[in-house]
Amino acid sequence: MKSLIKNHIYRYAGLRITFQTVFVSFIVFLLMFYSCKRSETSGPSIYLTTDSGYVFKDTVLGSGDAFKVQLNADFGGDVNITNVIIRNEHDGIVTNYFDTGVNNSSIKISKLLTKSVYDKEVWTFIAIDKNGGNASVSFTVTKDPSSVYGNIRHLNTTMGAQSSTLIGSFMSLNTGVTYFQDSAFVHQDSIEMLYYYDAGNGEANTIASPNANMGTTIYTGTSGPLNWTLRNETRYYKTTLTLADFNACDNDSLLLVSYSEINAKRKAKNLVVGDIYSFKTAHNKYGLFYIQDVIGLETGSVNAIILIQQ
Amino acid sequence: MIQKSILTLLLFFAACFAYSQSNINGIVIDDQSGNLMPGTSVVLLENKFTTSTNADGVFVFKNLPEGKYHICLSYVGYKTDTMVVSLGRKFDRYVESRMQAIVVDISTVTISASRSMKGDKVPASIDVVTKQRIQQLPAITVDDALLLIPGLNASRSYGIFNKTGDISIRGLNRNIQTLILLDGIPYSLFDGSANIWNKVNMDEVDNVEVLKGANSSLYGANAMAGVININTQKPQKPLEIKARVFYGTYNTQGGAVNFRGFQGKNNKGFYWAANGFYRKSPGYNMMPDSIRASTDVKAYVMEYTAGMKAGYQFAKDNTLEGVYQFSYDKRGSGSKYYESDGSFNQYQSHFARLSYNRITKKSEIHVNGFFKKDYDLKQNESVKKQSGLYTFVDSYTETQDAGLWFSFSTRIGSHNYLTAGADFKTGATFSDDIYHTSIDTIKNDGKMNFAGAFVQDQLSLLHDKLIILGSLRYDWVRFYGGVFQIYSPTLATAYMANYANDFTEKNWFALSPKLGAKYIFNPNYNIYALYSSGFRPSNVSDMSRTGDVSKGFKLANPDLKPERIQTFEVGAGLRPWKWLLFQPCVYYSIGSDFQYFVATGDSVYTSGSTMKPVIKRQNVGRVDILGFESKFVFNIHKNISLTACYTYTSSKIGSFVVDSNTTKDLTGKYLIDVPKNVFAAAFMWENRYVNVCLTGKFNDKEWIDDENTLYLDSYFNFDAKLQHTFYNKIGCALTVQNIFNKRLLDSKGLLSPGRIIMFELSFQW
Repeated sequence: MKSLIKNHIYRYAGLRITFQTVFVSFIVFLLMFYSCKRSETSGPSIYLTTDSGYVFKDTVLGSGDAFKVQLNADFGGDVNITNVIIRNEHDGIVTNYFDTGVNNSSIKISKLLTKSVYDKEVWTFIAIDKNGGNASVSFTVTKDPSSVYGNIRHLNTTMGAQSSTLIGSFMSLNTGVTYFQDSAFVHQDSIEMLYYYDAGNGEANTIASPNANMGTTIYTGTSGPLNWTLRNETRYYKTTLTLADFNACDNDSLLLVSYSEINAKRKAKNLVVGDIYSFKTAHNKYGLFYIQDVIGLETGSVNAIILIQQ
Repeated sequence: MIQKSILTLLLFFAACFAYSQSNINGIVIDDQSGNLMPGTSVVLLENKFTTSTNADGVFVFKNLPEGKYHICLSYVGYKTDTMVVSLGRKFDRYVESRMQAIVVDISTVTISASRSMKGDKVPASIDVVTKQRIQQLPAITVDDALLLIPGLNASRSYGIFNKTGDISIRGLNRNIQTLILLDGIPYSLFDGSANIWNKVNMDEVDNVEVLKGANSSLYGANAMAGVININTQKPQKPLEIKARVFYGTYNTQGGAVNFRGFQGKNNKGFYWAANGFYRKSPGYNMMPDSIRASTDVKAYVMEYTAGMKAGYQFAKDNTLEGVYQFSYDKRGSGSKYYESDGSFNQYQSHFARLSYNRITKKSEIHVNGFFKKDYDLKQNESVKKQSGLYTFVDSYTETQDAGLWFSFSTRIGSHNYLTAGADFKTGATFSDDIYHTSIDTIKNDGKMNFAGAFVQDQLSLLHDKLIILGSLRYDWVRFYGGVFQIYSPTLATAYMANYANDFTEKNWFALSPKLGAKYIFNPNYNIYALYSSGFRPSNVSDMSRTGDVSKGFKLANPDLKPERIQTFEVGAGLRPWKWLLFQPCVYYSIGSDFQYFVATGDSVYTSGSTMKPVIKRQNVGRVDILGFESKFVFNIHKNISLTACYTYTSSKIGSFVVDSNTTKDLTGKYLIDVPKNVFAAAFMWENRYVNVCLTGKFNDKEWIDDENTLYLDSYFNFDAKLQHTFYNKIGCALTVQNIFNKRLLDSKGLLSPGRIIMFELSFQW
């Protein structure tokens, strides 16, 4: 009987030891498991290139001054980065300068930014992964109190539609010259704007970027923009400015503030007299144009007054 | 008859004189005609002896030891008969089997047990697809087996790779207009989810009942085009096992197992069932070669289902039963940019039911409680053609239904059979679109409550020759909790932000009558006439969801009223000879307040530079549908049959009146996705070597746009199935769909899978 009880105690003790061991092991395993998980899903990381020529920390610049940034982001070891945002904040107003979808484990994006007219603005660079994990880095750009607004040029230009035999459709904003298609092919590096009329696609009178998607029947032949080796990108944004605002503009401040980087598109469609668009060229020049006259035909034309940074 | 009597006598004398051996002598007779049945397969299950009846319908098993024997008799087109024979020492037994034919017979149908309607008495157009028929047809999914139902058009442009199986009945082309039941209770979600057919395990189906035409007088909401009831098998033997594996085109492979058992005596006892199904395929490329991009990839499928059933049978037709079913399926949509699984639809579904059913000669009671929950995930990757903008969105939708259906029937006097019942159902859907490529989130919720009560009387006069059926149902439907909100809108969703809203509660009421009469001249001839009505409340998506659809930019319309329909039909069941059954039916339906996309005249740039017309679902004027359905069943020989169905449907918009802002008038236009003429036929020849089933279908051209400017051309399709069963246990089947490999383009410009060849091996015990 004694041996039976003893046996039972030993067995019970053994059971307890076994149970405790298993329980403790289980807890340790869980802790290890979750601690490992945590490090694997720590979210993305982000940093700015600190090489010469790049801005990566608080700095002072004049209005209209361009500056380069390069953001680098890496995923956290689990899920890819799917969204990159560059955000601008001044006077409590937050706008997204850049917002794009991606799907990569690492991202490197370079941008040429421009100091606005505001005294102080904060640039924030954000990387977000598929699970919503995010990382950000920011710096402040202060306006150089000694800087002055830049000068602008005035161009009164007319561009012909695709079938016009009188006026060229392709324009170099640098020179103010308009070219016909064959000549434009030769000067494609300087062409930043073109005009066409396309009623079929609901675009009607359109001023477009050379790299915009156009119907294949608008500009045909080997010299058509579709066959260019260099197709500059100019983006347009329809403003709510009045003609009075436009006429009062005597420096580049209005050009800088009226452009919306994120809302700008490669086409200014369905143009009518009175429309005022802001734009930015591939050469980082800001501008505004006002539509004075339009003849909506494939042989028609558009007349605009253009203001552009010198 | 004389021949049969002589043979019976001969067998009797043979049994008397051959006392020195123990033999089983049998004769097999067609129960209906009394004809002898040569060629019937006879298996002695205990020792696997197999034989068949001779030219006189006689079989013999000789020199058997004393004991109890199970004899299984099977003949194509007849119900399998199993007999138990006790054999004494040095004694012969004479047995007789009366085989019952499996014929689509209007007099043997019982439709939808939960609503107490006897098929031979119902003045309506009813079809039943039996388990045997499903096995005979070259069907890969259950909806494939609905081929031989005139008036019903089941379509799967991409075969098993379709995320839904689309059903149109009597010219009504939206899945949500047909109510689908599983064992008599709602299986389609309250919000009209069409993803039903991929969730049904074909091996578990006992039969599919199709009640065509408006039936809201009994079933309430959504029973506009018809009601489809999928009945699952009930365990009857102590233990049944069925397993099968299959492999075919596009490396499609899978398997299924079914276990069933009944433990009890004298129709009293516990029964149970468990089943599982699995299928996967890397799929095929839907995009035609000529326009295929590197991001167009194969549309794959991976799916499985698992189910359990347990019940207690207190007595015959007196059961308490619980069911749980789980299904999962993931189907790639054929495009992939960065994510390893590309764009896809993934569905997880849980379904549970608890039922009590009791049927006696004088009364019936059915109580069904059910709960269903679906978790859907739609992962979508896309790149805008013009801007090159990459968008990656996950849409999570959680939908749940719960309800209680109750009905009670009783015989009143000798002429009336009265049924009354009440149904309650509540449904809710919660949806979140999570943008990974921006910080936007769209939330879309909505809830609905349904309550209805009905009464039906079946009056039998003139010695049951004249049946008058009348029913009336009152329904109340409540929409509430409607939410459409956008959080952190960026360019991806900013164009929708103005339409964010919390929607106010809506209530609708519907009174749905039905009145019909049937005159049964004799078991072979009957005619009927019927007036019926149906309705369907709008779904949550149309009332509260704003967003991109294929036709444009859709605005939510919280003011949508329910669609309604009234149908007048006359039909007949004619069997002029025992080998021919003819069921014609003609009907005329008037739909009112039908919901249609209407262009508002505005357009909007959606997520970038794509301009889309703004559209809105609205209740338009009237829809007129005229149809004719007919079905012929020729039993050419005992084991050869030909079934042919013809359907004519003219679904037109009778008047299209919305408001002065409407930019188009669709009066006189045909409804989309409804072919005017459909012809389907099946030839079946079953024999001892290989059972053959050949089917063919002609689909007339069908419009695919509201203005009737674009259409899909007419086409023929031919399928075949060859099968053989060894030792009554091991089955082999070869199914070929689309024999001539016609690769059709659907309305989206995507290719059908072409010829599908599937080989199947099964084991049954």
